Amino acid sequence: MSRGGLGELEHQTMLALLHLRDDAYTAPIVEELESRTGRDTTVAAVYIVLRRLEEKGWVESELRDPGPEGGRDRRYFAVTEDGIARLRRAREAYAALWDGLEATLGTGKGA
Amino acid sequence: MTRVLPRRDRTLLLEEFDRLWERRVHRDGLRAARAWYRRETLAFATRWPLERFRRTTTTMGEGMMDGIRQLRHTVRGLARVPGFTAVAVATLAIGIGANAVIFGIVDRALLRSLPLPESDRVVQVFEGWFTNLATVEILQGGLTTVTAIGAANDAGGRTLEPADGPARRVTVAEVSPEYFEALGVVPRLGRLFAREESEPGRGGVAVVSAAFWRTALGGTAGALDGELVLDGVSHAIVGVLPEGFDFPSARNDVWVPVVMDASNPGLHWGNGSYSSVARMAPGVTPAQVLGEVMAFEETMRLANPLWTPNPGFWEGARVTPLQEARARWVQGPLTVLLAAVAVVLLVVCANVANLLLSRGLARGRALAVRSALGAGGGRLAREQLMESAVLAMAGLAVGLLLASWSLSLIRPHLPAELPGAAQVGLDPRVVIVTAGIALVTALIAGLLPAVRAARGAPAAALRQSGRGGGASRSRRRTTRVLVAAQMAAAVVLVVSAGLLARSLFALQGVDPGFVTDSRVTARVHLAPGLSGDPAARAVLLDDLAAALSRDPALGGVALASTIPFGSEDEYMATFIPGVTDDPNELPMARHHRVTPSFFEVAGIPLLRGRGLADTDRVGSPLVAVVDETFAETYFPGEDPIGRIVRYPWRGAPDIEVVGVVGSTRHGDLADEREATFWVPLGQMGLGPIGHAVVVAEATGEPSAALGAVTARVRGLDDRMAVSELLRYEERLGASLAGTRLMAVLLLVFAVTALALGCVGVYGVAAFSVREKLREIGVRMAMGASTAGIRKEVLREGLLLAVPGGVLGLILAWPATRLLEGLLFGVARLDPVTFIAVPLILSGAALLAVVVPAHRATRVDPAVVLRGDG
Repeated sequence: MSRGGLGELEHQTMLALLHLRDDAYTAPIVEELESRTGRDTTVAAVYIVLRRLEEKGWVESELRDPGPEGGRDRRYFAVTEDGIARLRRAREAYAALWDGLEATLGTGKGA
Repeated sequence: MTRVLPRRDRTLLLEEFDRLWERRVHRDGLRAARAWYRRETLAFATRWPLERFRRTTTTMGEGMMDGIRQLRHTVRGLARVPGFTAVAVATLAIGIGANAVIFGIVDRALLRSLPLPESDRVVQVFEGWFTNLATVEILQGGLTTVTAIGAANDAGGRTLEPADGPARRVTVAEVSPEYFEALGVVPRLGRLFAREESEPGRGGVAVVSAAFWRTALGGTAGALDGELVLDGVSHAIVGVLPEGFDFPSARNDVWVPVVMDASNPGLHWGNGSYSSVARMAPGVTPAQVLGEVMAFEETMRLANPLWTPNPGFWEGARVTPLQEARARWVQGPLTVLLAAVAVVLLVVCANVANLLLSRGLARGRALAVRSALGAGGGRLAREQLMESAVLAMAGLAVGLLLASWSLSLIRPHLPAELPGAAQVGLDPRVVIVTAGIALVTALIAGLLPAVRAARGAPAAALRQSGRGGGASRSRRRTTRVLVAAQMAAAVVLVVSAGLLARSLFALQGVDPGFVTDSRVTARVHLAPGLSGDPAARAVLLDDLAAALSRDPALGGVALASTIPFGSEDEYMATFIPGVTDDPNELPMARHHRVTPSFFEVAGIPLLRGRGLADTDRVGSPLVAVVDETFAETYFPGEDPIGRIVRYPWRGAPDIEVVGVVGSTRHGDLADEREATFWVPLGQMGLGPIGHAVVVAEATGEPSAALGAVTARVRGLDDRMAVSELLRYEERLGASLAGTRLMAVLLLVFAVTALALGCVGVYGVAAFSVREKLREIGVRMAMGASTAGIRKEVLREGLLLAVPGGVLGLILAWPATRLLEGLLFGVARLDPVTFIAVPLILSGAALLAVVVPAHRATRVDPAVVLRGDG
């Protein structure tokens, strides 16, 4: 769990945040992850990952009025520029690793 | 669920769970939703605490990493200024090392409890008094507040005849079996004494010190099967005492049981040379023991078969914890030394604080830049403290080395009576306390600079260092105050050392009343088997004197039972008809048994009547020579010749005073002269003392004379041991050892403090010159003379020293009160010392500013004014 390392759930959570854009608070993030990965995940795990990402400076959060929906303030999360840079580096690394493996592993979609 | 959620987002999360719950129920049904909810609760309950733990440990680890980084940074920073670091570390090492040495001694002597089980229960009964065995025996039978009470006498010399090699002297203490019981000592090997071994006719056993066992008996368990022949009497070795056991004294090699013989009242009641030690019953106080002891006073008074003491003869008796009783006489000197090293340490703190301040200033620009870039004052202060802590730890390491080296120098000179003297060293306890002292030093020395770093005004510093000089006024003031404080402390120490040194000189100047130049002395332990035969003894003594007289290396030769500044004393309560008849008021007089030549060999002048003669022998009328003090005390304004003195026992014969000789000092040059009487050795014999002391004049080298004494004694009978082969000067010198050690230590501390103070003065003066280079340059350009400039710098240096010096003199006034008991022939407020010290101080301060003054006069106005200076 080194400072610059990016864990799998961290990676996925950041991507989920980007998908959710302005609507990224805990409950939808969990649902987004579940629907996109098809894997059960707990709120606790996601919450902890979010706190860690915040510590690392890749994600920031703020308390905001939920808008037209009404109700109390919610903590909304967003990926920071550092976070985006980190994701880009991760993608490049994966791309480089994937390069030349299409024949072995297939294209990865609908295989 | 609520309780397991992180506090920060508890309500938010609860609300989110509400939403998710609704969706779950809607999507998966109530049962599945419940299961989900349980799972989530469990997940938070287990994972969040773990996460919190990880977060705190990471923070701590990071703190530690941060600390290590900062440490490395500090060490690197110090390595870049080796001169500064070396001076600071050396200064700290001196202060810390001195404290380690003195604390090591004080800890053993005063603070540490005795190395005995439940040592707080061990007390000295009749502290400061000696008592007889009869008293101890009666108390043994009567006291309920103690579990054991025993007696021990001071160490005495006996002749040991080893199976192989020449006879030698060993130091033997007589103790009652209950003495070991009272101390609670457990033997390292074998056993101690059984109670019945102090009965008359028993005994014949001995226990030995661990050191004697190792060096003389081979250090094996087999030693317990051996025997020791002491003064011709065989003793079975039954036990070995633990390492470092120093009761009653560290000098003891061998312990033998006392003989409790009530049938011999002369010894049982008359020999009052024992100290008594008891072990209190649990929960008992010394006062309770004393109360019970005092209840026996009347019994003891009436039971004495020799004489009847006055009622209340135990008035003022004390029962004192043994540790306190043993340490009492060293408390004064040790307190002085402790105070002195504390003062040295304060000087060191002030000095290092000053060094750090100057360094802070030198780094001013760097610090100011960092401060301007947002490094917090707190961080800069922390760095400063870290720096002084690193310096203090280096100082601690070097200081401990210094201390261990100094201790090896000092240890042989520590008086044997100093409790725990042999064990003084850098044990873990001393090291830990010293480390504590070092940390406190770091804190004190680093505090001012740290506060300054935290408050530092970056703009001002940048501006000033940009101009290449100019400390803030307040910093200069701080430095001056610190230097003044150092000077004040140094003055207090120099005054103290000066007073002690003058005491030492005064003592060395005391006329002992006899000649010591080229006189040698030795103790000869007579061959065993003679103790019961006075006639054979007398023949042996005559032969000895004759044999020694024949040696060309020896001029005049005399024999004595005891001599002034010898290792043993004999006192005699003396009846002087017409002066006192009350046995309780008998004057105690020094008593020496000597051959007639003694006065001539020792250079003691005969003032009236005749000296002792070879014809004063067994069978001829008993005679004595008294000294001037005896004559003036007991026969004031009368002619002492023809007067009678008598020993105190019943039926003792008359002794006629036939002459008066000059008075001598006896064991301590600081002591008043004591009334003394001298009797002929040939008439009175050696008495209870089983050895003779030789005093002889060396015709050539004293060492040759001492060799001749040994050779002649051995030639006569090789069962006789020779010990204490000393020049007479050495005996006198040894009596000054304590005072000399104190004076030397204080002098070392004083010189250290003064040197550090001068470094401070030098630092300030040098800085001030550097600061004023431009000004000096301008003035020189305007035609100021170099002499004038030099004088000004010198004056400034002096002015720096003067306030501290004056303050020091004022402080020395009350501080020297601590010294009062240690001074001799010099007043506490000795004007010579109090005038000399300011002169020394001024001289030292001038010396300290000579270099800066010289540098000031070398200023080249052109260079300075161009701004390159």
